[in-house]
Amino acid sequence: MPSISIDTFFACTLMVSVVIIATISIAGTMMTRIGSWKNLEEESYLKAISDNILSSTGTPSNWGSDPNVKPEDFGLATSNLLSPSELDPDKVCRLNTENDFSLSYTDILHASRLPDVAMKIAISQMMNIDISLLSNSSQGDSTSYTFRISVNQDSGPIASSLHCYVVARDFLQDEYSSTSTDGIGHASFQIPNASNGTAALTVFARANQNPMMTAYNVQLFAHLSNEPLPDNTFLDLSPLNSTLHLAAKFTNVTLEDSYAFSYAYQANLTESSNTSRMIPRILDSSPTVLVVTGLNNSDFFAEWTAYPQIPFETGADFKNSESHAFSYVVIIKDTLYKLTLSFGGVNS
Amino acid sequence: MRLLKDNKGQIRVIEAFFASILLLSVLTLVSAPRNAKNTSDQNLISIGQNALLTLDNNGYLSKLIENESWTTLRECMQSSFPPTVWFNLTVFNEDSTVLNDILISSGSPINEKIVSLDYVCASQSQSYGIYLIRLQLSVVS
Repeated sequence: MPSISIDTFFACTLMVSVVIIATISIAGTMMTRIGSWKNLEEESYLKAISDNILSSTGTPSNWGSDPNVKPEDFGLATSNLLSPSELDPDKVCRLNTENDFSLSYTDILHASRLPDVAMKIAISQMMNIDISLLSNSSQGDSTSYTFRISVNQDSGPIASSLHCYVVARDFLQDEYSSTSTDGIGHASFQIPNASNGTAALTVFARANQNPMMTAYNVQLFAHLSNEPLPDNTFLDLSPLNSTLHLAAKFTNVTLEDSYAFSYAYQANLTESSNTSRMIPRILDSSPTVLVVTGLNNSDFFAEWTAYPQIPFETGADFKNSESHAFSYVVIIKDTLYKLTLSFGGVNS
Repeated sequence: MRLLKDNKGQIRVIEAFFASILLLSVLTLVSAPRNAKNTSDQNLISIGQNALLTLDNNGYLSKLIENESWTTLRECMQSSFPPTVWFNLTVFNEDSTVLNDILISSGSPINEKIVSLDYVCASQSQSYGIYLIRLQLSVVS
């Protein structure tokens, strides 16, 4: 065999090998890049959708306040927008499944025009408030309670001012307090023994660093009675459009007092009908907590809800599955909240 | 011996060598798409803008700057971001002079990749001051 043939053979073999290796390498690289482009495009697409949900009012723009209206286009922004991240409290209430006028998941997906995408909306307060009963003691015809209140955030404890309200049978008392730099504070109350039954302690915490960071928590506790039943045992409370709608779950339920509390103000709710109360417009950078007391037969109870009804989660459950999540700080009634929109199961 | 003396065909080997160089160089020329945005950077910028916008509600941000409440401003920013986000904020006046005399930051950078955004904040008080806020952000990789 002439040497030129051997050379040609080796050259061809080398070229073919290089071509094969190069083709495989390029294909692998391109596949990875195409995959990452697709992911980038998907994330950008979903981010644009979540931005739009937060910045648009939806159609009709007042779909939140009218319980008979379902949105054609989904958007959570308030109509008279003062800040780009300001949401409508009624639209938010209609996302909470505890509200009688809440939208179904199908309604949300239909209005969002995302039939092939799973979605979850979660709104939470900027701060967490933990309440625990530290001590109680009877003195004469009253009982003293001391509560430990802990205010914290993901980043750690928050020094804040506290305003606490206690509601019991024919009894209302409030107290201002504050936490130390480690986020721990205390509140003490003396409740007459005659006001026995379930009592409700509402705690508002306002961060010293930013008055718009105000959060609440409510704890029901037994005052010379059996342990209180969970919230919403006797009543369904659905706030919407500055009206609290009440639905009794038992026939023998009679309503007594109803209150609206914010960090700085308190008010009695005025009765607009047997099943509704007017919620006063409180100009305060704070959520409003609504407490309703009543009797079930002769058992005294206290039920509560918040306006807007936060925290909540609605939509798909992405536990153990891949999803794209976008977090925002939003303003609702001059108060800051955390909102997370998650999307998953995007149809390729 | 005859093979070593026979130089014919060597040009094909050289050809193959160049061809392989050419093919391999294609790999290095395959670059990222020019129009594909870096989404993680965009998300960080979006988080930063969102935090500044909410803090600027009712002119609170400019009040903090006018009162030189740098510690409060740092705490506010810290509350607005998840713990995994690092930030460094610098406040300039109209003459581009740095106003904050203490570091408004959440510590040392946790990632070499830092995104930066500028935000113009106007005072609502009678001073009508205009401030430029430069926010640098990074996230745990």
